[in-house]
Amino acid sequence: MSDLHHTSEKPWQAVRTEAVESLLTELGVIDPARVDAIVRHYENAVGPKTGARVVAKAWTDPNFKKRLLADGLAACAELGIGGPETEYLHVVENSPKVHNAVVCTLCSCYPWPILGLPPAWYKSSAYRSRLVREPRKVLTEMGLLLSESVEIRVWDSVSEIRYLVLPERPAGTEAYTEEQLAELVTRDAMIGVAKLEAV
Amino acid sequence: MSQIRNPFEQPSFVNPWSLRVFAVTLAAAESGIFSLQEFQQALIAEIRKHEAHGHCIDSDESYYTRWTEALTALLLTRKLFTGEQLAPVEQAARDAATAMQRAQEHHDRQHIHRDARPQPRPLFVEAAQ
Repeated sequence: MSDLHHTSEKPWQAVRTEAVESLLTELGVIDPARVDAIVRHYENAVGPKTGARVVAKAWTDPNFKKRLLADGLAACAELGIGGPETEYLHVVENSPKVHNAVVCTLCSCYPWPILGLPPAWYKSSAYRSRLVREPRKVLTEMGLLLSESVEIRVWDSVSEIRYLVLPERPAGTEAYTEEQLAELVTRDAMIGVAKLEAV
Repeated sequence: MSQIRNPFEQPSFVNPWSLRVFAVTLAAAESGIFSLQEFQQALIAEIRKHEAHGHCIDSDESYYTRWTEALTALLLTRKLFTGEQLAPVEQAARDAATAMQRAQEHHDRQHIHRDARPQPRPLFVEAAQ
C-alpha cells in the first residue's frame, strides 16, 4: 500500500487514523469530543508525576506502603489515581539486596494511569528482547551500575497485570517533605532502569 | 541492537497522529466494541509479524505504526467497516490534506512577495464625504 501514501505530505498513518475516526464517528461508536478529551488528558494530566506521588506517599506512610504492596490499584485509588486501563497493579519494592525492573516482552504493557505513556525505548525490540536475557548488561548500558551482589528481578508486564517499581528512598532525605520527595522520583526509577539520589 | 536508550530517547508522541490513534483506540474500547485486552492481542500479533520479518521497533513511529495496523485489523475483523469503505474516506482525507498544503504554499508565497517589497498600507480608511 506504499504507493498510495505519497499523494500528499500527510503520513499514511495520519490519514488512516483520520479515516478510522471518521468512520467510527459515523457509526456512532465514538464521539470526537471524547477522543479530544483523552488526547488532552494524556498530553497534560497524566505522567510520571502521578507515580512519583504514590512513591513519596509510600516512603512517608508505612501503612499506605503496606496497602500499596498488597493491592496497588486500591492504594492508588485512595489518592484519586486510576483508570480502566489495567486490572491489577503489582508494586515491587527495591532493597539493597534486590533490584526490580519492568519490561513488556510482547508489546508495551505499562501502567498508563500511574506513569503516563511509556518512553520510546521501553517499546523497542532491543529493550524488550534483551532485558529478560541480560538485565545486568542492559541496565549498565542504560547507566545503572548494580553491584554483583544485588539480585535483579525482571517483571514481564501483560495486559492483565502491570508493575510499578518502588525505588529505595535516597539517603539524606530524612527531613524532606512528601512533596520534596516526590520531586526526586523519576519515571526511569519507577520502571527500574535508574536509581534515585537526593539532589 | 546494543544501544537501548539512544538514539530513540525522545518524548512520547513525536507525531500528532500517534496520540490521536492511541486516543481513538481508547475511545473505541470505552464504547465496548472491543476490550483493551483484545486490542493488546491484535497489537502483539502486529509486532510479532513485524519482528518476524527481521524489522525492529526502534522508534515511536515504528511502534505506533504497528498500533495503527492493529487497530485497522481489529476493526476489519469485527466488520465495523470493510476495506472498500475505508479507501474512499482515506482518499478524502488525503485530498483535504493536499488542498490545505496548496493553500498554505499559496499563503507562504504571498508572504515572501510581500516581505520582499513592503507596502506600507493604512489599516483602515474611511472614505471622504
